[in-house]
Amino acid sequence: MAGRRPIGALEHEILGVLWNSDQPMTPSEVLAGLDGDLAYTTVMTVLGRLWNKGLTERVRVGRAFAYSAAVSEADLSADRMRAALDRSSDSMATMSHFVASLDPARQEQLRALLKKRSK
Amino acid sequence: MSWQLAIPLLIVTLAVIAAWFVPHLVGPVLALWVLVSSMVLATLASVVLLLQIAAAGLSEIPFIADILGWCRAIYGGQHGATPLVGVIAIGALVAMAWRTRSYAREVRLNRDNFTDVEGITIVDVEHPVAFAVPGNPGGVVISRSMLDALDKVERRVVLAHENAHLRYHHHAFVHAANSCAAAIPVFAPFARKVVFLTERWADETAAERVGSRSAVAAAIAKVALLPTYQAPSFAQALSGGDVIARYEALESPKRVPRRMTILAAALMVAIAISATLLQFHQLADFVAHSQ
Repeated sequence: MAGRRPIGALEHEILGVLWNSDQPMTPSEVLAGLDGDLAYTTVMTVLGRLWNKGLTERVRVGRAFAYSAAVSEADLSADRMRAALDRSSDSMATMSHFVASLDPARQEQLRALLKKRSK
Repeated sequence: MSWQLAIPLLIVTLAVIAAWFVPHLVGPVLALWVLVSSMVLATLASVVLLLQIAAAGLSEIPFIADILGWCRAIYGGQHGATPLVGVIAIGALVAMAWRTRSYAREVRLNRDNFTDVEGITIVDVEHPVAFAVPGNPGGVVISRSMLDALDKVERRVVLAHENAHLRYHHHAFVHAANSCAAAIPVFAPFARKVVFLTERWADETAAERVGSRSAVAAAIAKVALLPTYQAPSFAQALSGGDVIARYEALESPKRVPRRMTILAAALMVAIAISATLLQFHQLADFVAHSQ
């Protein structure tokens, strides 16, 4: 995408890079794993933000920090949001979910497809 | 009032019907544009025609005709739209406006629950969920249960998919289509198809990101079959498109449309735009001559 990327999108991309690595990564390694020409300082900033949000962990490597994704340590957010998620259907009807839920017949159909693929 | 006034609307309606089949011929991006634009045009053309019927009907009531300064000698009794028909048209317009407004309110209420979302927000709820929250900047909500159930590649798929919704403003397409369907209920299946096409678009984007269409297909299947995903209280009415159709589309070769097909689709939208403008023109003509 041309132009400046919104910060949220960058957080995703950087977490994606971190998730794909088994070892902690320094900002320059993360930068190398991203497409497009981003500034080193931008990557530093976003890594810092992710760290502040508890989404990454970091260890000191020489003079820099190396980051890894720490999603399971992440904190929950606002009660309101959680309440909405618990109330579910109504309050979520206009959101676009990753997948819709399947009825049992459709589940069977999907399992059959998967089986056919794996053969 | 002659039936010929409805010819532009008829043409646009034909375009919407044709647009239903476009997704079988081209990729999701073009199909989405064609489908949503023809739905919006058809809704506009319908509103304009109803306005004209309402105006024609009302102009036969002498009292109103006098207030509006409409010339009874020209207009009185000539339109075939009796005051009753005019009132029915007004009723239809009010109903359309009211239903569209209710839909907009529902969207706003849904969104208000998630105003704090920015970047990635992880929530601790039992059922695995992931969805995009449009806004400025907007973001993605993902449950820890979802993250825990997925491996690295699958997480990337889910995030790339949801991120594509935000980046390409898919909510704008979906809300435009749903507003049309709120105004004109027969459009409901078309609006569902629009949702499906945004999911397909996001799937293809995710496939480019992770470099594998099969990986995306596998992730979709995995999430759809997660045992806890089927919790009955949660399961209804999540709009995620048709999972099986998405899976099959990803596992079959990518559709490369022929140039003639693209041209035909563009021509069709151009005709629909012209027809809608003609419908506007007829109304403007009617109102101008009534002065």
